Amino acid sequence: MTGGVATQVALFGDESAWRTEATDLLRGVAGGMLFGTPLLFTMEVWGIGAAATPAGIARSLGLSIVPVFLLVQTAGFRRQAPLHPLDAARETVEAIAVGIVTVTAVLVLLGQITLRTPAVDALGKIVFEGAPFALGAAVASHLFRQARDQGDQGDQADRGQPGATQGSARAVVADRHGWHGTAADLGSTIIGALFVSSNIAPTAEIPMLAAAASPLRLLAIVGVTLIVTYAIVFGAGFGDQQKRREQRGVLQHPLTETTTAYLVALVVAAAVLLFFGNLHVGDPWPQVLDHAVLLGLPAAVGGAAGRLAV
Amino acid sequence: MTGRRPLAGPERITFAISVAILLALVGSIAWLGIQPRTEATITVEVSGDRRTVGPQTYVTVRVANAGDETAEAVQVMAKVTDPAGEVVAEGEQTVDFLSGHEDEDLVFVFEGAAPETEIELRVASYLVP
Repeated sequence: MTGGVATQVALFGDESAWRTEATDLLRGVAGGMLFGTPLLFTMEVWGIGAAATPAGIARSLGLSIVPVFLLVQTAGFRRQAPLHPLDAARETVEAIAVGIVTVTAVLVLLGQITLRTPAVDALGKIVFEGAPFALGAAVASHLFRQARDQGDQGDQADRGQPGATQGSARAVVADRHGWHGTAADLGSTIIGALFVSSNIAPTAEIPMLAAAASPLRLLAIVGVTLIVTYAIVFGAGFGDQQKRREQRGVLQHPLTETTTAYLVALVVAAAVLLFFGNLHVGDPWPQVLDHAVLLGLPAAVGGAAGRLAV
Repeated sequence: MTGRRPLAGPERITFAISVAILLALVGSIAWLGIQPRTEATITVEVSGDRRTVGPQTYVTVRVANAGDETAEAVQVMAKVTDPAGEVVAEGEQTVDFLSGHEDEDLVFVFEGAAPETEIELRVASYLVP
């Protein structure tokens, strides 16, 4: 009996191994969303994917494997790097699979892949949109790990260990409690949301997607946006996640922070659409709502990245 | 060179699922690639009833690509003619992309198209991507 349990653990891993694996995959999804979301709202990429032949799709898939492999070998899709080339090849396959699954889900959510979409059209869109997602999955872990490492050095300073940096991360956390921390988070959400949504708001994609978006689809987009932004900030292991959870400022519980930041991102999205003339004062409220919810997805992802950078 | 890292159980399962996803993608692309492909063949026809609201008549038409290749910038022309054959109203629309075996619905809006008039539809042109 005990031997059977031991075999099961060896084969399927224990609970902590599953938790680590889930976090690694979540980090890949979050990294892909951070880097690939603007391209998901670019109709030229949909068009390139829709117009591609099977040979062109295969060529693009083959070409996208090379930079993903190089990034994985340099940075590591998971936490360990540098990697043996065979491990890097394995993680490359995983990063590309994460990109394919995530992109397919978001394209279905946006109505760009439906049951009426021809197979070659859908495959083209998935491969052309999936490449930047896979790159994001491979590189995000490395970029945001730097922030975490800096936080860890701050902790070492507190404990008087070698490798300490000037200043104390704990002091920073203490300073970030209360209104200061809340203001910093909201400010960085606004900046991140502005940064990403400004690239999409002037284009025709949002009005085009809004025209075809049903209330059910909009509700699904709201739900997915909240889950993705929560995952980026609190679930994916980016940056100084533990310290973020320890913050006690106003609205800084993970759930309240996520929902508040989402509402801020919606306001930013509506404001940017207004600025670029894709919304006007006096437009009917359903139009304002569907435009803001659609642009709210990339805006909220940008806002989450902004909060990680603080 | 760094040594190989032993795989945890969940990592093995993730890798197996990832390989399956990638093989399914590559297999689908290869299968589509070996199928014989025909040139784009565009048809257009009225797909619903005429709807009249005030002086405006709304006509829904369906543009379909019966071929395998994608057609770009598909130009659809519509003409309303009276029983004497005289053109009463004209319209034109362009569909950005029409993949193989895809169809799109378009709505033409005509002014003063009486019920006895006829609608003529044709595809004027498309771009080969």
